[in-house]
Amino acid sequence: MTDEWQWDDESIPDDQLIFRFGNPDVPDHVDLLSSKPTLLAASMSAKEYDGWSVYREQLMRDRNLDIVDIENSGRGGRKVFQMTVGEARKNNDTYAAGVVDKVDEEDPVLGECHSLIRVPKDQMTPSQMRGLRLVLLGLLAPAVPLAS
Amino acid sequence: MKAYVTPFDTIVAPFETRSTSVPALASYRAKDRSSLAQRRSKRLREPHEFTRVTVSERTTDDVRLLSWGHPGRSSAERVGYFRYCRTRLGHLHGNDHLSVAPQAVRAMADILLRHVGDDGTLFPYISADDDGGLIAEWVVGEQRIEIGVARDGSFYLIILSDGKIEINVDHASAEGAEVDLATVRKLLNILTRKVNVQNPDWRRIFSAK
Repeated sequence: MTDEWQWDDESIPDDQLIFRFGNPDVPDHVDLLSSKPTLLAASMSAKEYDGWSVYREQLMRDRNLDIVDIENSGRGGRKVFQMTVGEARKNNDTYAAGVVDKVDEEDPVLGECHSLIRVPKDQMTPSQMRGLRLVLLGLLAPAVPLAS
Repeated sequence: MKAYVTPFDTIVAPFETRSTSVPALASYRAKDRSSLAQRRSKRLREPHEFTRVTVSERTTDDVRLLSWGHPGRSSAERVGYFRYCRTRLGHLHGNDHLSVAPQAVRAMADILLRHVGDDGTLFPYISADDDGGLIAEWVVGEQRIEIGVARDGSFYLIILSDGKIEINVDHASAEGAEVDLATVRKLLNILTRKVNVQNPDWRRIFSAK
């Protein structure tokens, strides 16, 4: 982490999609009230203290990459979910978050499409990151292929 | 014959009384030599005697809400919260691949079984995290509750309502966390009632897993 902690890049438009993969070992679950599918916290790590890893739509389109490339990354078989930058950015009195681009040097395929959902630096604690994860889980929906 | 009428009358107790025993009733019936008209009259006076015995053995309000012992329910849907949690924790503990710490299992069992639920409570979805700990989660509409136990037995608790974090706390153990755990218990009572009305077959979600 540098001294200058950027937690939001205003040049990234609100209607841009961002994608996040889930752990394929955690089963699907449903909302007990509506019986609609929902995501479990256990399906996504909260221990990402540099920011919550996502892939940004425009960066993927520029490189002709699609959802299937995220599904096949890592051990493969990843489930992919999407939300808009605007949803992630939606600030309220319990949290503030933003999106910044950051290349992942260790990922030769998707590394250049890599972005982070961040909160102000003084809030990047394990506890706050778990809270942020729970907020974001409610916003994610299954990803739709970009080519469609 | 009058000698038998008196014990029957002692059995006809207020609905709230829960000590009525089935054997006593059965032995009375075997010896009952009163006329058909008299027996019918007694049945009319006490039409729910068997139902009452079955339900009242199970005590709490929440259990009554869940229609325990209803003849139309299959046995898979009659599993209670305690049995569900114990079975699920046992499964996670016994799975070598997940390497869940015994201390985490003990701490989660303590929280779930002693602090936040009773036998009618909505089941949490319990899973292993990637660090030897456990996470228990409830998702009910816009309400989410997450309890995570680390491998050393310390835990965190988050309650989210309509996208806003209501509570986000860390505790070293359940001792000293009574106020926060009581908040979860109260919220789960409210959510259980709500789900029982709007989605009474919610147990099927878990029987499929």
